[in-house]
Amino acid sequence: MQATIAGLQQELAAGSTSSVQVVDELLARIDATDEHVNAYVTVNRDGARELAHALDDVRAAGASVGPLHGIPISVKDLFDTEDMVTSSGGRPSSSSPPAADATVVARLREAGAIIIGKTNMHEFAYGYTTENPHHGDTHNPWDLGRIAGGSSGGSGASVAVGSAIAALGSDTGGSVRVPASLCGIVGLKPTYGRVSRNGVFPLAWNLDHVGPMTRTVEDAAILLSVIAGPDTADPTTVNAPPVADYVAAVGRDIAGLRVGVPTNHFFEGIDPEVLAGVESAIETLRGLGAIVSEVTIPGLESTVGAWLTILLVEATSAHEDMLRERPEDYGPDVRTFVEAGALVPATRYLRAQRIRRRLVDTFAAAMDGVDVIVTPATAVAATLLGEAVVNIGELTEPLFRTFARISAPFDVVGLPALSVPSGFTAAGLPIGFQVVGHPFHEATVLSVGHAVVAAGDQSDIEARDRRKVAEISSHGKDSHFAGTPGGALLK
Amino acid sequence: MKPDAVQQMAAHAGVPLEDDRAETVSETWLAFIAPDLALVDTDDVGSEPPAMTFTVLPSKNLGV
Repeated sequence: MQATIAGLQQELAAGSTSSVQVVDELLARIDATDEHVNAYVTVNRDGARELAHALDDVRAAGASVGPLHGIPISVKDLFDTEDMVTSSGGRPSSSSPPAADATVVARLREAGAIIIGKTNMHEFAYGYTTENPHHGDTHNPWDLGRIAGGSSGGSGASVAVGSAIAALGSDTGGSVRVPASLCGIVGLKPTYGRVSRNGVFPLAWNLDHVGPMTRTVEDAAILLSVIAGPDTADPTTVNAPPVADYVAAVGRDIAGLRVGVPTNHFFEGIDPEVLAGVESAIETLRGLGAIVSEVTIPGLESTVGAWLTILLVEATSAHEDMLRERPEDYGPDVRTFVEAGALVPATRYLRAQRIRRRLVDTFAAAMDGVDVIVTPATAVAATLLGEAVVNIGELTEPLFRTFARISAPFDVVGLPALSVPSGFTAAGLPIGFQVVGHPFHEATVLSVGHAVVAAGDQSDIEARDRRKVAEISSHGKDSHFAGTPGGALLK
Repeated sequence: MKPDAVQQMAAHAGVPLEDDRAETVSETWLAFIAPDLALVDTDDVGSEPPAMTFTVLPSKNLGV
């Protein structure tokens, strides 16, 4: 399988590879694939190699900086990095890097990570497709004619094609979980307040979350362990309950764990192939000894409306200066939504926040007798680039609504939600399975997600992975990857 | 929301829109935004207070 954080931790510790070798192979993979996938906005070649050398020297001296010592990590281009410009997916307004790292970037570096690049995204994180007018569209590695999802599409695509070991994304309405689902990787939106957003360009302060996007659930647990915890620079972060041992939770026996399957909303308007993949995952959990029962979550009709109201108002507030001073710098879709946010009265915004309060109580009551609920991560597999409307049977709806109605409710109520791969459609597109837990119970969510993935046909997934990367690389002008099939990145 | 109403409300919010922009926002509003916002307006929220999640941390300055 492709390289993972956990695998590289072992190989680096054993001396069977070096940070320089890993960085060089990753840069080669980026060269071989990114012309077609367009996952990156910025690649920090020289800085990454220089730091890799330094970290190899530290290791040779018998020391270790932390759990990510010498491991390259990519971050969405809305995380401030003091060595790379942050565009937030917009037209760059400055050629200078920010003065300081985002808190989560600083924590990655303190743990020994090498920030190798900034990944492409939907403009200002305001959309689900990562069709970007300034940096180009990101293409789904499983079918280059399809979207990678968004807004963290570059993070999702880079992890899927192996041009990133792991990445960070942000999630305001599903922007970690949607690209994770469409790209066939793992994406975790932690509980609101678990991970700092300081130094992360805001879309909507009351909905924004930061989370890991990885190849495995174990890697998501490792990254969460590094970035989680209170931050005085983000007053929404909390100190209690304390950060759990997420890595230890992976692989935990889930026999006896109570799994709720919603009978309403989350299983309506779902593509039949996606539904089959999700039902298969539920059967897997049942086979592992989980106690599966139905739950009903009433009063969800206005959830998308409440989310959209909060999003519109807060995004327009965040963009107030740019909207007045240089509106021509926006792409057409984002400009229209930023302008539309000015039309929402304060009374409607507060009504949405009141609905939100009720929804928090509703979910708590519905989940009272279960440990997690499970749903599809997305209603459909990856759609074609350029599509604005989705058809599912007799249902026709705007694309943003197709994704928002499944993923955004958990941004509204702040619950931890994980997307893991759960099979493929007949066309070979990944299907995503969502696991949602009680507040701050990321460990439980991770253990359930890992159980689903571990029960899958690993040899089939690895074979598909190899074909995907080889096909994309063979289209490259300078296919370095073809010459390094035995390297640390693809085995 | 018709384009002239869009222009009026946007101006009130300090975001003046040219005619073509008001037309575009109006079309988007009607097609993509209005149906879901209507469900917010008709939701019976009762006496529920708003959920404002901003947390105030204890002051570091404890005074004299």
